[in-house]
Amino acid sequence: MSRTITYSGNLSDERRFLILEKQFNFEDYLKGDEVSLLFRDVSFITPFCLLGLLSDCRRIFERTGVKVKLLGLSTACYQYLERMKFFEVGKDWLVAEGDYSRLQAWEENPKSINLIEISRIDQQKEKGAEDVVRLAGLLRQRAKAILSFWLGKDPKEVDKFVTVLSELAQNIFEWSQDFGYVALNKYLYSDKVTLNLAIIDGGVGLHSTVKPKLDRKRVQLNRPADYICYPFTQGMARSKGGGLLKVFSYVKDWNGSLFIRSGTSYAFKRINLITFETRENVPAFSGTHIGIWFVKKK
Amino acid sequence: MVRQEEVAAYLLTKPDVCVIFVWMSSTKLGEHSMIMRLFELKETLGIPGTDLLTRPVADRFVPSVHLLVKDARDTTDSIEFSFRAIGTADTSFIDQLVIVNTLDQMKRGALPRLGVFLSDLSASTLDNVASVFDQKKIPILCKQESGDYLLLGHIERNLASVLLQLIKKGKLTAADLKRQRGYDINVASTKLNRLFKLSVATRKEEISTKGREYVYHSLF
Repeated sequence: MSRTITYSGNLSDERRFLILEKQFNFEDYLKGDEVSLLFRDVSFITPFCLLGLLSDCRRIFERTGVKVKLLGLSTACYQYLERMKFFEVGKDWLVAEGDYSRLQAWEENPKSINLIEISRIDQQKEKGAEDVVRLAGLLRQRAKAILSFWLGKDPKEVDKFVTVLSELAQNIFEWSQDFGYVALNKYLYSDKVTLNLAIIDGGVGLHSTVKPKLDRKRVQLNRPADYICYPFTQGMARSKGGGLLKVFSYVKDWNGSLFIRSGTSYAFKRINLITFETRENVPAFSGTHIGIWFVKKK
Repeated sequence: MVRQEEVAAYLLTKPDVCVIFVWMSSTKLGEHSMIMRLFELKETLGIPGTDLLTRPVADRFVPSVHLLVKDARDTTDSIEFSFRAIGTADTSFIDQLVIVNTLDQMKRGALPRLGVFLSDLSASTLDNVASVFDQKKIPILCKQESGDYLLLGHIERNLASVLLQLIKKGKLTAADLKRQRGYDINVASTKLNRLFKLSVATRKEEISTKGREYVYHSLF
């Protein structure tokens, strides 16, 4: 069976991505189904949506055994995806249809180092730790370009970004039991400069990891979304995972926003607020998908 | 953070002390301590960059730390983790190396009990140390290049005031504490013993005319 899912409009934030994902109905896909994603008027995709898309193509491929076709990608979008190594990383699960052979690739140059390309974090602890250390080194190397609007007068502020990146990325091998990806990009959108850090894994998910630990401590929370907020707001004091508390504290300090999706819930901390708003019954996601945004007026 | 002169007042107003005091000291913290230079060890282990990140990386430091602590038993009474030249150490690294594999091992008797303090922390490492020790509800002493000394993490108010007294006096016995504060001798002994068990004080057994007694020493 052949299915085409059409999406129009830029994939510029997590809500738009969830709208796209609502159409996927992963459970319906059968072995041999051909799935195509048709992008209409999409010229912009954030790292958060990029990793979501990558993960969805992997999930669809795992059910159908057929690579997902991406149709109608604009030139700018294709070049950006290529620069982020999207096609290289997802080569086993997806393919872009169209003639992009004459397009010049975005060179790695001082103008395009305001990003960290999609990087794999291994599920095996030692290898995963090496991946995190390498990523932190890359962030330091490119900090001037990536963090120029945030470092202000104190270049040592980069240390805090390294902490955030490290604490989030290492949860992939500490908790998820699956490999994951990290991507980061500073971009101009409208009159604002935005830094988006995204992390995803297809493992057991934050909810399934946190709940048994809290059950053992006889901590009962009301809704599934409360379990995904807990390590960020309370910390897992006597076990691993205390780093997420620190991540949340830095996000609040810099007035950023934080989106966490796991299971059928999500939690969102908006700019100018210090608490999470939560939602249940969103499209199911087995792993954990996290996005952080820091926004400054240009 | 609170300056030395403010500490007493602060202790009176806060039921539980958490991260908290800073003072300038002319004395030398850890004059006789054994130093674990983390940057040099990182280089030896072939870990790239300037940062100390993740638990698996911390695990690679553990054999060296254990060797040092076991060797140090006869020659020193405290161990210093020097973070000089380290960009940032994340909470996971600090937790895994300093708490899980050092302080917890001392608590279980797998390592000899020594005083433990950290030194030369970058601003973000300091922040991460404060966060992880506060979360685990234990205190840690730190020495900064600037000359500031800090007690980070968490300690009960009454125990913090005994620690402050120990720091001021340099050394104390349970009998001293009983005399100065009017505590029952068992209470005084328990409080000093708890500071020793938290690795923020050291102790030596001494024989005097009164018999054997433990003399508790400040780490500096």
